[in-house]
Amino acid sequence: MFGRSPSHFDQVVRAYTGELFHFALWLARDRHRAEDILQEALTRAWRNWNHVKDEAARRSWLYAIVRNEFLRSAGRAKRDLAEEIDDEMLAQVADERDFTRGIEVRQVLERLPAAYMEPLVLQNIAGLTCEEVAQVLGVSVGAAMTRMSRARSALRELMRKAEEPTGTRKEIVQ
Amino acid sequence: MTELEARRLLLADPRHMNPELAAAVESDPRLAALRDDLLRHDAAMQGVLTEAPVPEGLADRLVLAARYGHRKRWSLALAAAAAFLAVGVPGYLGVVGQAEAARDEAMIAHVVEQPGEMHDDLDIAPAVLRKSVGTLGLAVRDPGYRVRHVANCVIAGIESRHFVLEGPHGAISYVILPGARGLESERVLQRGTVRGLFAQRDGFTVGVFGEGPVDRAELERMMQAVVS
Repeated sequence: MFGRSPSHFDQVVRAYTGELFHFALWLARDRHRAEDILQEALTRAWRNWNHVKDEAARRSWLYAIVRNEFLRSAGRAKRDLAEEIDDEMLAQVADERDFTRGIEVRQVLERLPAAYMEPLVLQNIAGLTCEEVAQVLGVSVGAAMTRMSRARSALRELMRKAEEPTGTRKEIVQ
Repeated sequence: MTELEARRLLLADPRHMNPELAAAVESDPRLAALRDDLLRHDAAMQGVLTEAPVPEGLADRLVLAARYGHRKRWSLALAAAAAFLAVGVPGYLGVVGQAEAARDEAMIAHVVEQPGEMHDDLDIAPAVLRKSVGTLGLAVRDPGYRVRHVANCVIAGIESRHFVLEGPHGAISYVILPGARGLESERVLQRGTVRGLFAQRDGFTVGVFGEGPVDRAELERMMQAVVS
């Protein structure tokens, strides 16, 4: 319907840049890599812009391209990893981010496998429905729902443990 | 709908409920409590996932790169050739030189306008500095001086790096800006008490800055300490 319209492309990119950046950032864990992934992904999207017939599917299509671009770049990134530096060291690089807020939630999220987390991330960053998440991941709706259901159960359990007072946890251990 | 089915649907997506699920949640306090709990955890997760600021001007850069990324190199080459033919070598160098001078001005302005960064006094591992600058694409060596400050910053709309070393005569500030066109020679700028030496290295513009009586030779030595 829209064809390869530059103005339509501009509007869509501007509308979704923020959430796509956050998704790429979660995938890559590095803001510069996230930008690179986004740039490659949107260049690919522009080349194939008129392949999307159903405009309602545009957003999940973009997410799928970003995800594929990350998977494509992951091999290269592993080879580029010249030296091991832990997160604590990198936190010394000044940034506008506040690293103290929400630390417990972040720690809990990091304990869940990425395959579990990915559908939840898509839901929470973009508010995608189960059907849209399934489109991005290239799985059936049922499979996507199962993953999300298991992930939320695991997340809920971890959050519950994290929220327990320390004394209570000691009693359980003893 | 059984309670088990309702729980499974809520765990999959507590936000989007079909009418049957919504009715079940409304009539069962346990399901309502489960949904509240899930929404609370989702909100906490969303806060963590979206707290990083989106880089300034990212949408513009993405649009330009996607739509003109490949054409840009050709158009730049054509524009350069046209300028060369039209006004000759001096004019061409003048045009490109002005662009480079504007970048130099933006770099020294960043240092002058952010005095707190120059006076930051941390002790950051050299590996962190190498990694941080390396992600931009420029390899820097272990400077052999204490790293007092490293920061991601945006200068002239470009993602850049700013770091400060404890030099032999006090703090020396560096700005690494991707892209280097035109002027090959090193040049010096002075703004207030800050003096800057600018050079091109491997496609980057590197600025080295000192305050007070720092001379050009000292800035050149500090440049060599980090990039060859």
